[in-house]
Amino acid sequence: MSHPNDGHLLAWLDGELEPGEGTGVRAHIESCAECHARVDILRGESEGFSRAVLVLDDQVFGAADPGPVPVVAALSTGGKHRVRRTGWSLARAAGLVLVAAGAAAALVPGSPIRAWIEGIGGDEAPASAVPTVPVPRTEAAEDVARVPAATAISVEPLAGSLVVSLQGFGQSSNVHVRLTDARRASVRVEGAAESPRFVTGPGMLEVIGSREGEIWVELPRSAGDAVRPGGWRGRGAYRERPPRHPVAGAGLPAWGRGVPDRRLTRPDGDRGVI
Amino acid sequence: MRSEDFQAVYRELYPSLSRYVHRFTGDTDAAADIVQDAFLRLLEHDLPREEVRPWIFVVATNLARDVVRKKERRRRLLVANQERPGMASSPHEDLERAERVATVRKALVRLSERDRQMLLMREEGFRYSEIAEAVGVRPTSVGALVARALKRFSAAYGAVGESYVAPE
Repeated sequence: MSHPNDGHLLAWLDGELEPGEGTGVRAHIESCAECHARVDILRGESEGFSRAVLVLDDQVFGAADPGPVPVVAALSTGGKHRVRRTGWSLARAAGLVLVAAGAAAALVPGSPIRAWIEGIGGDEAPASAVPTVPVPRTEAAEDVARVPAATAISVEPLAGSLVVSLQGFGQSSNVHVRLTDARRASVRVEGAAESPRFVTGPGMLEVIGSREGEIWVELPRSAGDAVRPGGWRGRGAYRERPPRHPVAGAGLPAWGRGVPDRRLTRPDGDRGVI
Repeated sequence: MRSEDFQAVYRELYPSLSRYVHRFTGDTDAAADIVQDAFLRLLEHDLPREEVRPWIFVVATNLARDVVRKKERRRRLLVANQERPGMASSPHEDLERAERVATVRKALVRLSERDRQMLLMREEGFRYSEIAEAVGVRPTSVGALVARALKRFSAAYGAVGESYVAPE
C-alpha cells in the first residue's frame, strides 16, 4: 500500500473511513514508521486545536445551561388566536411573535416605571445571511452593548412576523404584548426601578436599572410603520401567508407572557426611536 | 415544527450551537443573537428531525459570517474578551486568560472562514458528510481539507505567540 495522505490518515483517526479501507490504513500505519509519525502529528494538531478552543468556552453565554426554552406565542396568526387586523400592513406582516427567552434568572427583583419607544422604523438593518429567509439585524453600538444587568426589548420583522424579544427581565416579571391602534410602538415598565435609564437603537430598547415588574409592549396594528422606507431592510421577509408559529403557553391570543432574550444599541435618553 | 419538538431541539442543540457560534465569531453578544435567530428560523421550517442539526448550524454559520465580516465586529474579534464578570478569581488570572483567549482568537481569525467552519464543526462532532454539505465540498475531500486547516491553525497559533506543544 502506498502512503496514505494526511486526509486519509485524519479520516482514519476520525473513524470516517469505510471498514475495509480503515483496516488497510491501520495495517499500513502499524508497519510504516513514517506514517505512524504523521498520525501522531495529526493527532497532536487535532488535540491541540481542541485544547485551544476550549479556552474560549467559558465565555459562552449559558453554554452549559440552555435556560428556559423560548416561549413563542403566535399572535394574530389566525384561528382562535386571531387578532382583528386593520389595513394592509398587518396582513403582510402576518403575525406577531413574542419571543421570550431568558437569561432572566440572573436579574434583580424590583421596582417601577416606564420606558418608551416611539415609532418603529429605524435606519437600518443588516443583511440577511440566508437569502430565502432574510432576517433583518440591527447594528449594535459597541460601547453600550455590553452593559450588564440591563433589560432589553427589541422589535423586528422576521420571516413574516414581528418579533418582540426581551432580555433580562426577571422570571417573575410579566411581559404583555398586544396590538393597538396607536401609530407608534410603546413599551412601558411598571413595577419598580430607581430612575431607570434607557438605551435605544433601531429596533431595540434597553432598560437599564429596571427590575422585575409588569412590562407592557404595544405595537401598532399597522405594522407598516415597521417596514416604512428607510426602515428595515428585512421587509422582504414579510410573507403573504400567515406564519406557522406554534403557540406555546396558554391563553396568549393578544397577550404574550414570557421572559426575554436580546440586547440593545445606542443611548438616546429615556425615549428613543426603534 | 411543533412546539414540543422545538423545545426538545432547543434543549439539545443550544449548548453546542452556542459554543460553535461563539468560537466562530469570537463575539459573545453576537453569538447570542445569532443562536436566537437561528432557532427562530427553525420555527419556520418543517424539517425532518435528523436534518435539524446540520441545518441550524449552516444557518447559524451564514448569520455568523455577516457578523464576522463587519469591520467593527472584526475589530472586536481581535480585542474581544476582556474580562467578563465572574470568570476568574484574580486580576492576574484574568490577564493570563485574556491573553490565551486573544491568542486563540488571532489564530482562528487567520484561518479562512471555510477552514474555521470545518474545524469547528468537526469539533462539534459532525460527520465528514455533514461538513461537506455545509461547506460545499465532496465528502472525500474533507479529511484533506481539515488536515490542512489543522496545520494552518497550528502554524498561526504558534505565530501569534502561544507555544504549540507538539505531540511526544
